Amino acid sequence: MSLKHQLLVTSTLTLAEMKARYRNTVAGVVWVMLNPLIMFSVHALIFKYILKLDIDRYFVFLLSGLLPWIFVSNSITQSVHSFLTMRESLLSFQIHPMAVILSKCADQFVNFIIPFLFLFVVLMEKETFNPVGLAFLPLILLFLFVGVFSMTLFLATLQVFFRDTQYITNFVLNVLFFLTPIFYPRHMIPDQYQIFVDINPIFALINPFKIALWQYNLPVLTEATLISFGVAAGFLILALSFWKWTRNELYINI
Amino acid sequence: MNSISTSRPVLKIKDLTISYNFSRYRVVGVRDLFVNFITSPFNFLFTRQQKIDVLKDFSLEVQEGEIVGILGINGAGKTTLCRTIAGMYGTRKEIEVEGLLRAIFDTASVVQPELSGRENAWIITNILYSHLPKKERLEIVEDSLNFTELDQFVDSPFKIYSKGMKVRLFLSIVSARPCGLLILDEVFNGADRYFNEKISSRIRAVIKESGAVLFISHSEEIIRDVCNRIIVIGKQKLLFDGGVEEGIAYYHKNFSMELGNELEL
Repeated sequence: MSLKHQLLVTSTLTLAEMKARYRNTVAGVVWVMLNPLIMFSVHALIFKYILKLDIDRYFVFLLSGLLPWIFVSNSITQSVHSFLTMRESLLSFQIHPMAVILSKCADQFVNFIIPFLFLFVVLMEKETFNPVGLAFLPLILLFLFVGVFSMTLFLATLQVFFRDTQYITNFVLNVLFFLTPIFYPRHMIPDQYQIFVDINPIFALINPFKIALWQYNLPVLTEATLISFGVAAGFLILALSFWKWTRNELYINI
Repeated sequence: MNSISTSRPVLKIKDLTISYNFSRYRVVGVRDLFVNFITSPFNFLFTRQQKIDVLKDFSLEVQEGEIVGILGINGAGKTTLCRTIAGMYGTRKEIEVEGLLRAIFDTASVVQPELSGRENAWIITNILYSHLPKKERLEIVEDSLNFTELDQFVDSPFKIYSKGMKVRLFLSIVSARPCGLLILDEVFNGADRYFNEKISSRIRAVIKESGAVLFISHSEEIIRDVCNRIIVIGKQKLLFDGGVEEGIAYYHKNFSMELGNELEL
């Protein structure tokens, strides 16, 4: 099947996923907006107004960290068992298993980009953004998507052979949420613990957002974007290699 | 049915070996790893990976017009062979397929149970007929929905469908267009007698128009009716390749112990 046909299958599965999720719910597609906006508001309330963190342009800071994090976290947690939940369909049709993961990530990406753009437009009323930083956004989004797709593909494949993966993943993501400078700035972390930020691949994918939107600096942004590219490419190679290595046994184990 | 074969090969398989790493799917969690390590540390550390050969040096050529019934006891590798040909285990250089390949392994399967029959029909059509233009895919959906006779249920959620209703919808879509090589694995199971007769003629028409067909069924009656060639696989190899009656007789003779459980006589 050609790439064009695979893309049609992927887009069909993505739309089906989006339709099915909010079918029979009262608020329906409003949940796409509501969920991240509530998270955004709660974080803003707690850290800006209750804990009174002294962070310049806190809403922009939160927009550039929290929403990408929700995308990463939701994509991984909701797709890690996809090969098992889609077992029936995978064994019945010639659906490429990667199309399943791609469709799940694309679905989450839409759920991320709509509230992201909404909040961005709202914040533009009061905040100013550097145009060069904004020009980097498509590239940053691409690397974020590739990185998340690759991580998800790797973990979903691992889950087929190692059923503890989803529990370990959930645990690690919960820990990483606090270890990743999302709702607090990096400089608040003591020097001896900065290594945990440096080796955190999710932070590497999110960091360019912060620099492009919050504290623009071209050399730093260029370096962060290159690191993001490296992490995305590295995970893609890892995921595809693991996929190739295990593919023969995948259908037996799902 | 029994259409006449021509000399144009549609499927060529040369020295295909399908094997699985058995040890890789015995241990599935940390607890199992831990228990295995504690109970038998030597075996855990030094036992070499076990490989299971499903098929070994398997060769097959299918010509245009041939409808090949595949017989074999459970676990012989019929479905595994067909899934391998369909490319579900990755591309294999030992396999050459001429033209478009469509493979169906379960007719009661569903993509999104929350969505309606019509919406699922559109999803299945997009998966099976992604090479066709949108207009033709829409025609397939409408034609198939009419053929199912599910009437007002086509807009009901798929999750409330009985198995027979799912089979009706699925088979109607699958049988909408011919293709180069069609692989059908137990497709006649699940539908009621009335619809079975109705869909049988539609599927037979598709089979007739398709380049060649690989057909798996445990029903001798259907195999006799549909196929013009039989292969029997077992013991990791091709045991028989020839005519329908000879193939069924061979299967009876060599697997008589298992037939009580296997064939719907």
